[in-house]
Order: sequence, then C-alpha cells, then structure tokens
Amino acid sequence: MKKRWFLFFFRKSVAQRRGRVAIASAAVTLAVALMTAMIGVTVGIREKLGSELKAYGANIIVSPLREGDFAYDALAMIAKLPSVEDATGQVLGNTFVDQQAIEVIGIDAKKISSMGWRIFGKWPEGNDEILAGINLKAALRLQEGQRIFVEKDGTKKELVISGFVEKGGAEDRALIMTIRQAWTVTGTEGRLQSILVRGKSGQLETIGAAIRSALDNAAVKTVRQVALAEESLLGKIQLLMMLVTLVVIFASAISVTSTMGANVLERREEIGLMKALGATRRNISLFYMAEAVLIGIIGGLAGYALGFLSAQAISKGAFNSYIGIPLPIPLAALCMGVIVAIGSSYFPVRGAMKYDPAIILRGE
Amino acid sequence: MLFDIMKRSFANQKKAMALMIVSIAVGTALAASLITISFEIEGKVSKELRSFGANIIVEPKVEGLADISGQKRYLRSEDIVKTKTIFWRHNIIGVAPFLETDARLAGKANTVDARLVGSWYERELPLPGENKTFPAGIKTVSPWWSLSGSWPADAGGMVIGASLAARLGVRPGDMLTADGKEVTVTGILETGGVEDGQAFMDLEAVQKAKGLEGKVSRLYVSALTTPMDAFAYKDPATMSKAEYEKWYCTGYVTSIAKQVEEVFAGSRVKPIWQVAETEGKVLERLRILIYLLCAATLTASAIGVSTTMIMTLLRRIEEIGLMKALGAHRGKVITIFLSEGMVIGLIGGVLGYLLSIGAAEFIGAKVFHTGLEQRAILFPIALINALVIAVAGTILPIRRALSIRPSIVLKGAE
Amino acid sequence: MAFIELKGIIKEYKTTHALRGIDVTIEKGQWLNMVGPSGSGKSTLLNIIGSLDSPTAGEVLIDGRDISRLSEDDMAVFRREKIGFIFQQSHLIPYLSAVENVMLAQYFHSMSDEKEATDALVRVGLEHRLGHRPSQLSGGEQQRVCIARALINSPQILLADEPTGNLDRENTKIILELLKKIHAEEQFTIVLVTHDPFVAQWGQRILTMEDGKIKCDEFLCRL
Repeated sequence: MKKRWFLFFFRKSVAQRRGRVAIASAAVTLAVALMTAMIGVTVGIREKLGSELKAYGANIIVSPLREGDFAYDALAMIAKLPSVEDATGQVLGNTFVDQQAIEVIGIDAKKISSMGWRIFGKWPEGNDEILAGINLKAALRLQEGQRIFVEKDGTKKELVISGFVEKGGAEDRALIMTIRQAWTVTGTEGRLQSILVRGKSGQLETIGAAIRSALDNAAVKTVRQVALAEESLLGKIQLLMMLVTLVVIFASAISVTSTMGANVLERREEIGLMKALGATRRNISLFYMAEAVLIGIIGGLAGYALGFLSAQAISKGAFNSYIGIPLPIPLAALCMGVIVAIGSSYFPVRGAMKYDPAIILRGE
Repeated sequence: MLFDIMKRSFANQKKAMALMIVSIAVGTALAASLITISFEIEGKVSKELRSFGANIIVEPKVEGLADISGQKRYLRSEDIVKTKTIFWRHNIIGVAPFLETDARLAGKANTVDARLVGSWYERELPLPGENKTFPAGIKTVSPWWSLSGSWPADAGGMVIGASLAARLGVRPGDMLTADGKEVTVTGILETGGVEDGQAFMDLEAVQKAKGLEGKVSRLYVSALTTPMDAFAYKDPATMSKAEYEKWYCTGYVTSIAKQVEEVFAGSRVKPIWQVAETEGKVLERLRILIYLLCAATLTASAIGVSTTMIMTLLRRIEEIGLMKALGAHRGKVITIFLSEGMVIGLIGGVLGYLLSIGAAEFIGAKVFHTGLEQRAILFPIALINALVIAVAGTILPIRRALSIRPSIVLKGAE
Repeated sequence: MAFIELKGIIKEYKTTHALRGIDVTIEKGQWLNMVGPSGSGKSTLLNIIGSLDSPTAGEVLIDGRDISRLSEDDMAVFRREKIGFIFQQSHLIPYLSAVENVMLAQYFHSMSDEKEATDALVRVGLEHRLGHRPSQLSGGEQQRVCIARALINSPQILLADEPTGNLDRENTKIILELLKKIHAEEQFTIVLVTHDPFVAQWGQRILTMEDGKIKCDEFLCRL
C-alpha cells in the first residue's frame, strides 16, 4: 500500500519537473550515446583498418623448401585454414622474346597479389591480353595494344599488351598474365611456384604452423615487412581509440554527474521540508533514486539508439561500410543508462542528505 | 540591503557555481584534447606507416632490352646525399642503397653462387651545405629486418640471409670463403623476403671487392607524403604551368619522386605504388574518422555543458525575481549575472585547457611514445569558447527571467 | 518531571554563540511563546526542541528521553511521531494540492489517508480549497493548510516559527483563533516563536530571549 502512495507522490513530482527530468535525460542520453559510439568504433576499427591494410598484400609467403613446386590444389587447401583471409598462387618462370629471356609471373588477377598495383592502360580482358612491367616498356619499346611474340621450348604464342604495371619490384621487368596463360607460356602446367597468403593479424604463427604440417616441402615465411608494420599500426590505432574512449567516458560521467547534481541541488528546500516532516534519509533518497532510475531508463534507451546509429554513420563515412557489432538486447542499453544515472546521482544525493534542514527552512 | 542578499546568495550558490565550473572545464578539456589529438594524429600515423617500407625506388634509366638481363647500368653513389637537397628534403626520412653483385660462397655444408649485396645498415650522412648529418641506411627504410648478430664493421665480415645460411651451414661467428677470401659471418638476417637468400656487406666493401667504386644498383627512399587525390593522378606532362607548380609544391609521392629524379643522374624514379597508395588510403580513412569523432564528441559535450547550465540557472530565476522585487535595476541584474558568467567561463576554460594538456600528453605517451605537440593557439580558443558558453548560458535564462513578474515568483515559491 | 526539559543548552557556530546556556522546562499541554529581537536565538532553540538541530552542549529531554543524542534516523522517527512544524514560509510543496500536502505528512508517518486528510482540512475551514495548489491560496489559507499538515499525525508538540509573520492582522487573528481552538481540544504542547507582541499575548507563557540567553520568563494569568 505504501508503494502505491510512493508512486503517487513520485508521479506528481516527475510531472511537475517534466522539464528538468527531460534535460537530465538528455544529458544521460548524450553520455550513453557517446560511450556507445566510441565503444562501437573502437571495437570495429581493427577490422576496418585491417581490411584497408589488405592492400599491402600477403603477410605470409609459402615457397618450396627444396627444389620443386606445389600442386595447384594446395591453394584450395590453404584457403580453408582458419584465420586465413585470402590465398592466391603465383607461377614464376620465364619465356623468350626476340631470344631474350624475360621473367614471367602468373597471378590470379584482382586478388591480394595484385591489389594496390598501378596500371597504365587497362587490365587484360581477352584470352591473349597480358600486362607488361614498366621497365619493359622502355626496353622493348612497347606500346599499349602492341602485339609481341613469346617463344619457349618450341611453343610460340602471340600476346597483346593491354597495359603496363609499375610496382617497384620484380614485376616491373616481367610479363604479367593469368595463371593459365603463364602455364602455357612457361610450360609449367598445373604447378605453382609460390603461394601468397593473407592471414589475420596476430594469427600468423598459427597459420604458418598449420601450413607446414599440411603441405609437403613448404617453407613458410612471415613477410615481416607487412606483418610487423601492420600489427604495430593496428595496435597503436586501437590503443589510441581505447584511450580516447576512456577519456570520453570519464568526461561524460563527470558531465552527467554535474547535471544530476544540479538536479538535486535545486530541491534543497523540498529535502529540508521532508526532514521536518520526519522523513529518514532513506525515505528521501528513495525519491531521488527513483527519479534517477527513470532518467536512466529513458536516457539509456535513447542514448543507445543514438550511439549505435552514430557509430554506424561514422563507420560508413570513414570506411564506407558498417560495423558488424551485434546489437545487444535493449536490456544492456537500459542497464548502461541506469548505471550512469544512478552512479552519477550517488554523490550528489549523498551530499544532499547532509543538508541541514534548519538552515534551509529558515533561508531566503 | 541588496548586496547583503547578493552576498548571501553567492555563498549559497557556491555549490552551483562549482558545478557549472566543473561542467565547463570538462567540456573544454574534452574538446581541446580531441582537437590536439586530431591535429597530431596524421603526422604520427604517417610516420608509423613508414615502417611498411620504402615508398620510392630510384633505378638506373632503362634504355634497351639488354638492361633487363645481362648488362648492368648503375647509379652514382655520390648522388645519394642530393636527395636531401630537393624541395621536399624534410620529408625524406630514410634512404638505403643496394649494389647487387654475385659471389661464390663456400660454407661448411655447401658452396653456393649467391647474390652479394652491398648496402648501409646505419649510417650518418653529411647534409650538403650544412654542419649536420642525417640518418640513412636499411634501418631507416626497412625497420622489419631482423638481424641477429651485427652488421659487419669492415670488409672482413658478412651478414647472411637465414635461408642461405641454412644452405651453407653457417652460424654467426663461423668463417666462410667468399670468392676465395675468408670472411666472418657477423650476423644472420631474417626478413621473410628475397633477402633471406642473399648475403650482405657494407656498400663500400662490395664496391671495392667487385671494382664498382662509386656505383649503386638502386636506392630505396622512405618519404612522408601527402595522400594522392584526383588532381595528383593527372599526368604532369598535361598540366598547365599553375597546375604543375601546385603539384610540384605538394608533397605527393609522385612529385617527390620527380624531384629525386632531377638530382640523380641517369635515374628513373618511381613510387612503389603498393605502399604509397595504401598509405594514402589509410591516412585518408583515419582523417575522416577523427573528424567525425571530433564532430560527434564536440557536439555532445557542448550540449552536455548546456544541460548543466540550464539546470543550475533555472532555479536562479526566482532569485532574479526577488532582486527585482527589492528594486534592483535591470541593468544591474544583468551586470551581476554577466560578470558571474565570465568568472565561471574563465576559471572553467583555464582548468579545462590544463586538463586537456594532461590528457593529450598521456595519450600521446601511451600510444606513440612521444609527446603530442601542444598548439599554443588552442589556449585562447579554448578560453574564448568557454567564456562564450558560460556567458550565453547565463544570459539566455536571465532574459527570460527578467520578463517574469516578481509576484508570481515569490508567492508560494519552492 | 516536566514534559520538555532543556538543560544547559549551548549552541555555537564558527563565529557566534547562538545559545549561551538555556535551562527551561515546559509542561505538557502548555502554550509557550518565545519572543526577542532578531538573532536572540529563539528559532535556534525551537529547532533544537524539534530535533532539526543539535546543541553543541546540554541535554534535550522530551518525555524523559534525551533526543539530542539520537542518531539521525532515530531523530527522524521521533520527529514524525511527536512533532508538528509550522514555518513562516509555509514550505508547501507547490505541485501538490492542499490535501496532497497533508497526505505527504501522513506518508512519512505511516500511511496516506485521503479521508483523514480531508477531515483535517475541513477542521481548519478549507473544505472548499481541498484541490487547490498553494499558489492558488491566500497567505492565510496556506498557513491553515500548514496547521492541518502539522497536526495530521497527532503530534504531542507543535512548533511554530513565526507562523503569522507574513500575514496581515486579520489573518493573524484567524490563525491564532484556530490554534487556540484546536489546542483546547487536543491539549498538545505549543512552542511558538514570534516578534509580534500581539501574537505573544496568545498562549500561557512568554519567554523573552536576548543574546542567546533567557532574559525573562513570565506566565500570563490565563487559562
């Protein structure tokens, strides 16, 4: 029965103070929104940046330990290993142009081995179109669309240069073509001379061990250049985000506390009166905590929704994709809001309980 | 009488004032630290991205098919220091020359015809025209090289790549013969790249041994660059004079490459696109991310500060009513509250700025292991911002309050 | 033993002495008025009796119990059971109606009861004002609500701090008549603080205070 009256007076109080409750809820909403957004972005950034860094290419190279090469289906096997994001094979050989030995690299176009390449001209489309390294352009006086003849072991083939590759590596002085084309041109049908793997940052050791045990004659090396730099960068960025999140959470907490404090502060007279009426501290704080819970529920739900949407908007803006954070049940959001509201009310209410009613009631 | 009441009301308001000051301080601190971080982060991450390796390669100009395989052309090693004379010299943070030759190496287990590469590991080069030196060598360009042991101090030592060392059957401290001469293995190199199958010595030692004094096969350059945009991708040959100047004076990887080419005789200088472009993309993404985060946080903190201000000041409307009832002049009321607002803004702004310095320092130290540069200009900006918020937050309720009739306020007041 | 016994009450603040040693006894059912200039300590003494304030030294014995040594929670319980307060500024909750304000006092005591609250307001002549908010009531009407509120839990002691301070002579009389009537019916103890000599004549005893001490203690020859 007492509960009924408690709710009665509580409702009246909140109805009267609609405006202030709304403002306090706004403060909690903002705090929760900020926390949610920051946490969302922090969680997602490793994945987002990581996929950007894919363009640096493979972080694991598998090459033959001794003389020899790999069967083509080794590729499929490796691609299925856990934490492997991508795997592609390379054919390395040579052919002859005008009796000059020229390196040939056969790749799976548009995969990790060719991300980040700068192409002058066009990617090959037809069956006999290939790319040539930029150094070959000057050396053989080639032009876009030019036909060349390659010959190896008696097999002659006519190819069209659709464009030139400038990479700054071995590719610059080689002919680049698809794996199938390379097989025909170099005579190494069905074999791969190296496999490039892109694994999840931090899992490279595990992947390496898995490959070694699954593949015969495999020398597995971490491309330190990529792997180390990646881990270092991702680690730093994530740490930065976490620290900024912490700062934001801290600031939000203080900000909400001062708002709730203001909320409580202006009710001194009411508190004084209630004490005069014989209310214990518990009686009084119950009212304020109830209000805090209400504010927390409103603020928590609204804040979570706002924060979630903001995180997605930020992710879309910066990375052009959405964060895959699982949407937790509204209960979690509610809890966050209530915890924020109650937590930030704790000290102000505790302080308010110390108000000397004698002074208040005399005042003015 | 009026001032007595004022004084007593100020004393009562101590808590309220404190709350407002704290709120403004925190809001200012958050905004200022975020702005500081966002200014600095691009530079820091740019530097961090350089550990992905060289983004520019300097090669001898290719003139005939024979250059591809067989006859070799070289660059002049004396041109290396000239990279530090170009317009964008301050962006060049590392150079590493490579001289590729062949040698027959005989170790315990095997004899191998391997690549012998001359380079620098850690070197201080004289800055042309100045009394200072600048760091150069593999360490400045390829920080991921893992060297167990040490780089040879003279021509009697050699570093062997890990897989080559395995084939030769040598470890650090062992002896082997290179082209008949005895050398000590001073270190084993592991990179995960082609270097693992090669042998390394100091550039000068290899030049001397192979009769290639003053020659270098190629040079890798690590430069801080501005991310490429649509404009930068234009072929410089098609640019107007004004466009060309703009391109040349912006630190794109292409313009820096061009400038290096200008000082290196007989060279063709290219960006290593895989590195350069990815770098640009990562920076671009981060920049957008930080801007968005800043915008979101600044908005939120501004609103957050406002809520506290509104809350605290709503109750003072009654106070204003009382003052008016006691005959206080409208102008006087405004003055009193305005000066109060300014004091709050001042204290809150200074406090907030100091806090932001602390926060930015802390974050900079933890993440990048260096301090973040504090832009002095941020102080007046933070202060003005705090003052504006404080004063605005004080004035708006006042104007409302001054229009309320005192009688309503005083009767049955809470 | 007297109902209320104050022994050697001293109240010190950082810079002033509000009470410098008060010894007084008050019988059950007595109506005592405290008068004196501003700053004489009369309100402080009132608050101490009502356990809203604690003395720096001395004993406050009410019905044999020293309430000055109670814990804060125990004081609250004591207050709600034994004391009713009336203030100069009515301190009515502005968003509650007259009857709701009275029910609030009931709530902290035991349980709100609308019928009882209504009856209390009728008793003070406000049967047509039950649903009004304080802002809709005149000063005199507000104080009548306060009386109803103060007495709803049948306290043994009614403490009034300048209850008519904001009222005109007409309303002052109404309030005092009301108090007199109910006092005669219920026989609770009244301690009333006032600076108005007219008000001081109502009741049975006048305690004059000055500078934190009792200057004069006179009984009025009255029933």
